[in-house]
Amino acid sequence: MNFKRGHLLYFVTVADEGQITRAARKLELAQPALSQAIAQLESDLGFKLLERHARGVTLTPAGEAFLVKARAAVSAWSDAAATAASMARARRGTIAFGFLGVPPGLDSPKVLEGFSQANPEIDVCYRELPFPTAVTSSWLGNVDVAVCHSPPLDPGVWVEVLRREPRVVLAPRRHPLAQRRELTVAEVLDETFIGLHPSVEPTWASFWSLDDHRGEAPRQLTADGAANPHEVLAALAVRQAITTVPASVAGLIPNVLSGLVAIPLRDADPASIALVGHEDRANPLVQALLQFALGNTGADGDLAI
Amino acid sequence: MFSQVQLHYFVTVSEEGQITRAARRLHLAQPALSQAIAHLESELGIDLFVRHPRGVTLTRAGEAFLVKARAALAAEAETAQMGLSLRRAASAAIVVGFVGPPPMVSTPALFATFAERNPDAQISFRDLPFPRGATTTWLADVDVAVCQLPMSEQGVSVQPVRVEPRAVVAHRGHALAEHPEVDVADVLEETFVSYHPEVQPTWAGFHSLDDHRGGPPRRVTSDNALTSLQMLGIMSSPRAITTVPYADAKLARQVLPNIVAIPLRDAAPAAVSLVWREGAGNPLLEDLVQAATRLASGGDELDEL
Repeated sequence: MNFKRGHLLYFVTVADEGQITRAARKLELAQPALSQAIAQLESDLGFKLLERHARGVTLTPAGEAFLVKARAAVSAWSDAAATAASMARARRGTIAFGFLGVPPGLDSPKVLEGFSQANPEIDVCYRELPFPTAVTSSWLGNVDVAVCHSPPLDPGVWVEVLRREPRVVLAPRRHPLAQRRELTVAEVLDETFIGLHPSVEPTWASFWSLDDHRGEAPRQLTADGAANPHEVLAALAVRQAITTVPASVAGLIPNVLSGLVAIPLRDADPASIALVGHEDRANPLVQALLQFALGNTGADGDLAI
Repeated sequence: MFSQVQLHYFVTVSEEGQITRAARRLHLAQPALSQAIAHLESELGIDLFVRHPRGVTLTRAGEAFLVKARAALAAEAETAQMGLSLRRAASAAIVVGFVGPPPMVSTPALFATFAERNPDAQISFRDLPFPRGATTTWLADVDVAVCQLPMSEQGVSVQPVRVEPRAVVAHRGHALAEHPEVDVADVLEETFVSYHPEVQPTWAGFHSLDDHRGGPPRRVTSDNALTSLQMLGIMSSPRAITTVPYADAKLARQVLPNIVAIPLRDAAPAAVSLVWREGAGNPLLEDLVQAATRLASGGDELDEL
């Protein structure tokens, strides 16, 4: 059986969205065209994938079993496409460099400047990423390498820690803690923290609400469901809640957003800022960047991307 | 994005190392295949092959892309197989694979019970080659197989149907043929029939008593058996012996008058089992497994032939 191109992706998107209308919007298709494609797929397969209801669709048991395989196929296809795209970029001398929130050129420009000087033929393009999701390799999908606090290892990625950096509390200026010049972990464990989106990798997400020190989730998380740094900042502006960030980020944010304060956390375990890349893409430009970054991490560990 | 056909062409050329040979295997004209590969390369924006006078070799980018292309094709094939299993599940059909004697002969009570309980089921049987590669792949085209246990694997379930002694199968002219029964120690040093190198080593080794010897036999023939039918042909030659479940040995003897089946007194028993991939939820498969569970606990399947 050969599937029509796109049909598996359509089905997976409908299953994830639970609604043809929403899925059509996400796929940038007209709703009737998507309904028709799904009906065609069902007729090719010879069984029903979806139950249609007034308010959306649910999977049949066969649809659930089929979804597992279809999802794996869609992700294998997009991985192949992303690998080819990475190779094509490498051939053009371009690296797609992912970052979260603060552009790496702002929070620590030295290494990237040095790399560009040493490799004038390589062009680094910056791509902003959302917070890491469950499978690190698919989160990285469309970039060649990214810098962030170490996400969980999965077989498809490598992680090279560049430096350790203290965590710092970020709070709105009207928060009771905002006047403090320094805090200890014990003093903030019972605060309300900004809640991240459920799709964010749970261990990575909980690091910023200090769950590693508390041993469990905070008593209270806001319902913000922030999926990227901007949404965290937006939430902080209107909530009576805090979060923690790496010190290099905290150094920049209050300059831009005067409503927020950054307060050092004396005894929190540091964040591990790392380069993360794809294990099996063999991109020569990324290897050059990694070598350069590792070679230029100072003994004090504070000089790197 | 690239198509399934393009990926299939690319993988075939990389396996053959020559456009001409690959074109023959794909039943294509050589210029058409060259053009398709060139088209894929320009679409991806990378060179996949280096062309030499005597063939082609993969570039580094081609090597990395090959891994992903294979994974994408395999994931799509698995999705298609799951689609076919689910279609059978939805239409009261089941495909039963077997290695060795047909299930209606080797395990008649099981299939008689099953047919009685499911008079409308469309049951079909498929002769499988000996297990090669991953068990899930080997099982790809059937819902369940009846066989001596293949390699255990995640996603594969097993239910023994009958546990029975092993027997030596030898030519009438073989030195062992006069013995009414033999011990493992009597036969370990014999020359055994060899299996195709791709057959799962533990599965093949079970038939040459590797589990008792702790390694392969000192002498094997160069037969490279891959199917039960080939095995029947090889059994009738006087050069070598093999061991199979006792009931299978007796059946082979009915077909081949020039062989003998000699009970192996102290060999670990064989477990003829149902083996299936999890996930399709075929109600007929569930019923078959239940029937096998009842038979295995009752122990009345071992018929005298």
